[in-house]
Amino acid sequence: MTGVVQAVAPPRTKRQKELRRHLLVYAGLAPFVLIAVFPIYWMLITAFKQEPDLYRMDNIPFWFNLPPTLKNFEILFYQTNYGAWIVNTMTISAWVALITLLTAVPAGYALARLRLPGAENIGITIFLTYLVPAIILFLPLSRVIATLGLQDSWWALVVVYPTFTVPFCTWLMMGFFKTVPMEMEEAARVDGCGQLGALVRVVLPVSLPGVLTSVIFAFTLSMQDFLYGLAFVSPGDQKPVPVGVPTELIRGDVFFWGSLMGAALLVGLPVAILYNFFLDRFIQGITGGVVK
Amino acid sequence: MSDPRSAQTAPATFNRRKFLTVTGAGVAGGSLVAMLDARQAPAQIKGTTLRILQWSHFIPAYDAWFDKFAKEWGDQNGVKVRVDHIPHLELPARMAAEFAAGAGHDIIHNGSSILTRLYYKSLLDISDIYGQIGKKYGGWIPAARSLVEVEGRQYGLPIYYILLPMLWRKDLFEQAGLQPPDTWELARLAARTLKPKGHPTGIQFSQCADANLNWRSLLFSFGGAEADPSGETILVDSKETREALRFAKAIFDEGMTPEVFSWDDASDNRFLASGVGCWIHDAISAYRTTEDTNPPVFKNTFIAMEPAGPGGKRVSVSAANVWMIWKFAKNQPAAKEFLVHLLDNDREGMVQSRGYNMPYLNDGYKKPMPVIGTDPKMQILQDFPKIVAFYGYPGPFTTPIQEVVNLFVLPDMFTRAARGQAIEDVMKWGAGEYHRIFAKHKRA
Repeated sequence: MTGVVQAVAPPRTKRQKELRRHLLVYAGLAPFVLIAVFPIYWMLITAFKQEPDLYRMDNIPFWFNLPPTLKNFEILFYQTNYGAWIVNTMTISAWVALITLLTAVPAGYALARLRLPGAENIGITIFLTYLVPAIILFLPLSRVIATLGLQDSWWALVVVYPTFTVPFCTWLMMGFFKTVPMEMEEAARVDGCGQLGALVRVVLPVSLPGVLTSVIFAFTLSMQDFLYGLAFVSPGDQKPVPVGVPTELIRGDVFFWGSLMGAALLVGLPVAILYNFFLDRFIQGITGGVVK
Repeated sequence: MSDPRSAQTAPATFNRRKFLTVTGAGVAGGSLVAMLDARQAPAQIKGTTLRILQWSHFIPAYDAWFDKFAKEWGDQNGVKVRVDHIPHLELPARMAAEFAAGAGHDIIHNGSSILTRLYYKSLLDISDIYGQIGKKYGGWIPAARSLVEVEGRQYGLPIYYILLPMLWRKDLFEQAGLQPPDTWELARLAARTLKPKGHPTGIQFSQCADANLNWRSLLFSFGGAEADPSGETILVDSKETREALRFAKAIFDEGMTPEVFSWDDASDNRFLASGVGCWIHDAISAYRTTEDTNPPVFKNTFIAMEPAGPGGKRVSVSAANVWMIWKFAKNQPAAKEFLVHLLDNDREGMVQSRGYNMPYLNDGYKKPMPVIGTDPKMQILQDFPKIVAFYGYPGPFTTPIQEVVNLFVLPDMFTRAARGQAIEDVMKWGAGEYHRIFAKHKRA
């Protein structure tokens, strides 16, 4: 009987319960974090590995078996136009984000709030154009680009990318504007604002997460394209990163793995960090249009 | 009896204008031939711009050499030359964009997928320089013509091709008492013997350029064919194709691992360089990769002749490379001049490519050939021109064959067989695809 009493464990304290809960949560999350982080880790170590280190089967692939090297970055910066590609990518993306913002915000506002006849259907039609794949559009667009005299210049991409960023962001902004109470705008108008003033002074400030989301989308969609870049820009110094990296670091069946990983890392990491800073606003922007 | 009116009017029609036209054309034509022969560019190209689209070569140093070579030629002739590089697999998309726009580069490169027949109406007829270069350098190898010829005219210039020989591990073969893989049967025996020792073989059972080339080498060496020499009649449904499919299934079961179903063009390079593979059938890029990354394995890696099929036949399907000039090119004279100059320096190109670029011109085969003629392990490559073929063999590389290649019909047939589908079902599916594609182009 005494033994039975001794076997009963003392009740857990609140702190222990909390600790146990945290451990379980983190244990559940750990596999997902591993899956998400592993490619970045792989990119990181491959970027600094010597080439023979990548091919030996008797080596442990998860760490350095030969001393780390900067050679892959030397190839990247001294034997390719990587610096120019980064500048091109950022400039193109900034222009596209600006054009998208200047177009999608008024379009989204008009369709969401001006009670235009058939606004809903127009909105759906605009969004449907986003779904037309680039593989169909690049041929007719190449004629447009040639007519504009923009072939083989990154300006071609500034013209082309809004064809997919504007419809998407218009749709996004429409959803977001619908969540802003109409009473706020009406109050602004009672206080003397015109339609434009109400938009700029009242609606836009409260829609900032949506605007920010549109900018991030426009920026990242521009950074992801490959086909348009390939079809319209071939000079080495005019390419954006997504085109320059595979076209100059994959040669036939020879892959410059270290430099490829280094190139992806250098572009991907800052964008991921930046994304992280605005994560809350981004989620707010994405989900903002879900409920009215 | 002659027409008296003609006799009377003849002196009147041969006036001063006509005399000047005829003599002017004669002088211009003669000058062009003389200039091409003497390699002196015409003055009209001075101050112009030449735009070249070229693939990203396996060897970065070759691209560096080519860019410099093109610039130097431009400097000598007062032409501003710009060379752009993109991977060979992306060239068709870029070509389609330029075709749609009616604007783009003057010279465009085609690698593996040779699209002469698809675009010939928009390509410049360059039969003149094709004939002239052939005459100057002992003629073109027989396989060259069908790559660029449509309706008796040449719309491209074959520039070089890339061989895919057997690359095998001599040390592993010797340890197991095996003979070199001189026949496909010996290659199969080696794979069967060495796989249990941790050294399987591998050929891509997937949709990639190497699979298109490798399985055709095997099929043709087994006596099979895709089309007859006219290119009109489909010959793929044959006893030889069935034998090749059965052989591929057997070599997969006995000597490969399932990873080959996910292989791309670079996978066999890594497989050899890792020291695992006992042999691969690939371009010498794999050999060079091994040299750079795993010297001990490289020391024991040797190059062999294309393995013979059951009847002793050897056919090596190679990756063709061809240059073309658009009809809408803004600088056609300079484009032609440059191509002639490039082929005049074919030998140097082979040196700079570390032996990748095999010549189409007979004079290029005088032994010892650059690079491969002086390397004892590579000397065997000098004997390949006799057995080189391209897609569509023994027929030309027709438009339907281009589509068959682009849709990976033949690799898919071999993959289906390796995955265990009945050979007759594979044959029915594959032949059906060939007939569907050929019929579509006939209707068009």
